[in-house]
Amino acid sequence: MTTLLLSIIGAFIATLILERAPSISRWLITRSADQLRVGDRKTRRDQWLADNEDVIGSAWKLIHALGCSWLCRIAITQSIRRALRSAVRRKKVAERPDKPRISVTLNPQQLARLDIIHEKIKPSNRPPLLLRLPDEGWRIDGLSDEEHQLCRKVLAGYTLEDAAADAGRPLEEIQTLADDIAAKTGFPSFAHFCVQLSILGVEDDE
Amino acid sequence: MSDLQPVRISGPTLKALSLFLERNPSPLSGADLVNEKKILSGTLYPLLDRLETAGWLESEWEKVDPSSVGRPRKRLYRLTGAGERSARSVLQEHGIDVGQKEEGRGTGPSPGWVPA
Repeated sequence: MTTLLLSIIGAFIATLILERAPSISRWLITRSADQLRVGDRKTRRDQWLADNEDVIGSAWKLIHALGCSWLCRIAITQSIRRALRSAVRRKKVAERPDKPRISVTLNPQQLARLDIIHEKIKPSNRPPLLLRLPDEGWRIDGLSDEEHQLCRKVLAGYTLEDAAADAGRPLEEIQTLADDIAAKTGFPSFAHFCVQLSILGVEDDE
Repeated sequence: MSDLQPVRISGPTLKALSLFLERNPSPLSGADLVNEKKILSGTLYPLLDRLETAGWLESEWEKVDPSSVGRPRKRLYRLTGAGERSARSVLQEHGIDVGQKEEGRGTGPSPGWVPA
């Protein structure tokens, strides 16, 4: 009986989705394309929407739109990766001092591009680059154990909210801790500091 | 093929090239490739970009007024001269007869298609 009921509900939902496939597809494509770089946004949206109109079959329209959405996700990841890599002066492992010297090497334009990390990217959508931990043995001069712990959590994909919940502390305290780290390391924000650190972590593997 | 950059030849690339050759010199939109060759959009658009960057394809926007047709303009792709020669050569290397339609699919060479 339950199976029958579930089948009926499933079929009903599937029918509803397929009936609305054209509008769902248009919404999905528009929403996805809006996340692209300004230069690509209109051309991609127009091309994909025009193609979607011509794709035959409701299911294929949805599949087409989902593919476009997936492409956007890839493009965003790649553009952030490029921005990160170009934003920070890369140092060869051999040239790196024992204790990493953290310095701001970003110009205002690059800083603006990096801001998309916090403004646009949801935690679930963060590029793998930000999930890479730097060498566990690394320590930054002047940072406490607690501050190091927060850095590692954020680089492992935690948001500040996650880190606060994990530590059982108010978000304001964690935010203050993050601001202190930025101030001590001379970065405009904690986010910029983490970006620098994640790049160094990636270079470790090269 | 000397004036073209090499491209990675995958299954979808072969499918796309065969349809371009069948329809040459008529331009194709992404939707044509989805409808006729069932190439998924996540594969299709990067593939078209690669082929265009490598000089195999050229593209242009459909020459219509979006407000009068009530939809955005299509991006239309067609083989370049060198792209056509390269595509035919690649398809022949892979044992695909470019002079005949694929079994169960396609409409055969268009009137504008000239065998090598």
